[in-house]
Amino acid sequence: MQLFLWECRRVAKSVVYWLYAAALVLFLWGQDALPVNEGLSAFVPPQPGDELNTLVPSGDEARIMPEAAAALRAAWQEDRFVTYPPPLCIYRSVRPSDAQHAALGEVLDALCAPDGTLRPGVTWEAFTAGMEKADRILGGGSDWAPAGLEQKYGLVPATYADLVAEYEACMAHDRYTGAFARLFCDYAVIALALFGALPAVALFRQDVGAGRGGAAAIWVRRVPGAALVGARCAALLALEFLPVLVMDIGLTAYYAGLYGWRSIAPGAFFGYSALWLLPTLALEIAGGAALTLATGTAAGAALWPALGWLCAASGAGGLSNGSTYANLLTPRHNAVGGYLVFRRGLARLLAGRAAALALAGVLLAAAVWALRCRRRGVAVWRSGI
Amino acid sequence: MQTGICIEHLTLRYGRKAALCDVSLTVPPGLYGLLGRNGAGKTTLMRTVATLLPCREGRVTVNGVPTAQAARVRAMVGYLPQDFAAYPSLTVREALGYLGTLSGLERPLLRRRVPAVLRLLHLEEQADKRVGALSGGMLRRLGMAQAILHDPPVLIVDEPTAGLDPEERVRLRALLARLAAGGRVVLFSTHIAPDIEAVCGGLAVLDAGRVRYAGTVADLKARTGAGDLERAYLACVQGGKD
Repeated sequence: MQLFLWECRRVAKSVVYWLYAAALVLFLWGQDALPVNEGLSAFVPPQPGDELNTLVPSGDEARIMPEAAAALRAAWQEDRFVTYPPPLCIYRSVRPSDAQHAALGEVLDALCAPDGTLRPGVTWEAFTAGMEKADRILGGGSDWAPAGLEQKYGLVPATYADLVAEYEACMAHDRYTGAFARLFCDYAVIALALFGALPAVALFRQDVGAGRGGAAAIWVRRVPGAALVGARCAALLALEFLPVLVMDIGLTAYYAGLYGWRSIAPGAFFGYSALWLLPTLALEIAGGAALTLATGTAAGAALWPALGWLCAASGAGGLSNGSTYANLLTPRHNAVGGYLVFRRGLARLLAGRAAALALAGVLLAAAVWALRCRRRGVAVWRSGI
Repeated sequence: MQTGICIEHLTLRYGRKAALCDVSLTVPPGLYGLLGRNGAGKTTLMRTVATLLPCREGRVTVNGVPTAQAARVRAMVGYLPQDFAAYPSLTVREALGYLGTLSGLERPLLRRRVPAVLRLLHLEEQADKRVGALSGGMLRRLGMAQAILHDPPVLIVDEPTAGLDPEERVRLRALLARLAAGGRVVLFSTHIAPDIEAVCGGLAVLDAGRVRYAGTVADLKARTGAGDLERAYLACVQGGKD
């Protein structure tokens, strides 16, 4: 605990930390997310006729199968596919090899007649097995991954009842703040993916910046490497999350003023922030620490924001089929409301967040190992610290 | 328990170049000097004893504990690196508090030890200054303060007097002598012979990674017939080359 508090003090005295906090707030301010004042129509009861402009998943296998097969055939004939392969779900343009092209053709032949229509008697199980095989050939994250089929294909115009159901679910579960909190997290997670690693890189680089002698004066001490890295990363996590918590408090108070304390869910911003943002922050911090200790350079200050930018930039492409919920760095939900969509993607979101935490754990272990090597004068990547 | 530093047949290479070559040395309790020119291998030897470099050929023990057991050795060692630096944004008091915590000092003990070492090193007036604002001499004093903060039984100080003015050099030498008087092992490296002659009973002369002489200052002077350690050192090193 004593070491954790000292590390907190060091983080709080770091210029890079305050730049991070300022960048986070400015980014959200620039996105009009402090507070969000758009999309308030989500809280207005739907009127008859509103449904004409809205498509919703039908879940109808008879609609999904021919649409998905036709889309696969079109991409196959063009010989070009767009995928968002996990875990990062970054945009990828895939041009299959001849063997892969032939294998995809076999999948199509098994499911479709020569004229492109679905073969009679193809069951949903056989169809999804074929789609899974096609997705695997493409490296995963394609529009034909079975988990996303229902969100992507077989869309039908919404009924008035669908809109009422969404509205009622939103009012019952989100209670205003839940709906705004998801959009807040959608923006905040991008900012954290862009800037979250920087204070960690700066703090671990300070050992190097203090010169070989500075690092030696620290590393010759009896503190175990795991305790040093653990306390430092925990301090970074706590203090980097602090501005988010402050914004959560401010936004909760703002919406309480707008709708009344009794109407809102007071814990929504805090709950969504913890679930949505903390794993990304943990991954950024552990990644920044591991890369800095392994290379002895500030490469993490370039690599992690670049990864975050790639994830955020390409993540929007998966919004339509909900696959972006599984994004390791930047799960997206770029809308006010959409509670039922969120519920359908929740399992993916939880799996992605758990994967991010697990990877953060692995990177933390790598950071401890790199520190151990450097303390014994064994070069990990480049000697120097 | 065996006290002191014991180095047996230590060879350490940077790539193909041997920085230390079959070094054997016993450093007893007290103030022991390590004399050699720049690049002689003094810092490499000290970093190896301080567990900051791996001991792959030969054996090094600190108070009977091999350096392979790094955690146990680190608990016994205080180390002042040649190019000591600390976090510039912390104050002197904070830097000592942080480094003391890394040495495992609990808060009540830290509250006693930090003012004590500040007093000992005449750093009280600088206690609330930022480390980044310290002069070279003050930084050196802070380096000594952090090395003795946890009251280690073994102190390894690498070129502590380099860059200090004469008054500070005398004061630092006196402090080292005082620290060694209590039975502590103090290994003190320098390329300034008079510093060793002033305070050390025993010394080793290191040249090109090899020990040219290990014994007492008086014996080295007698053997070489030199009137002072500086000439005795030159005779020793030049004799080694012949």
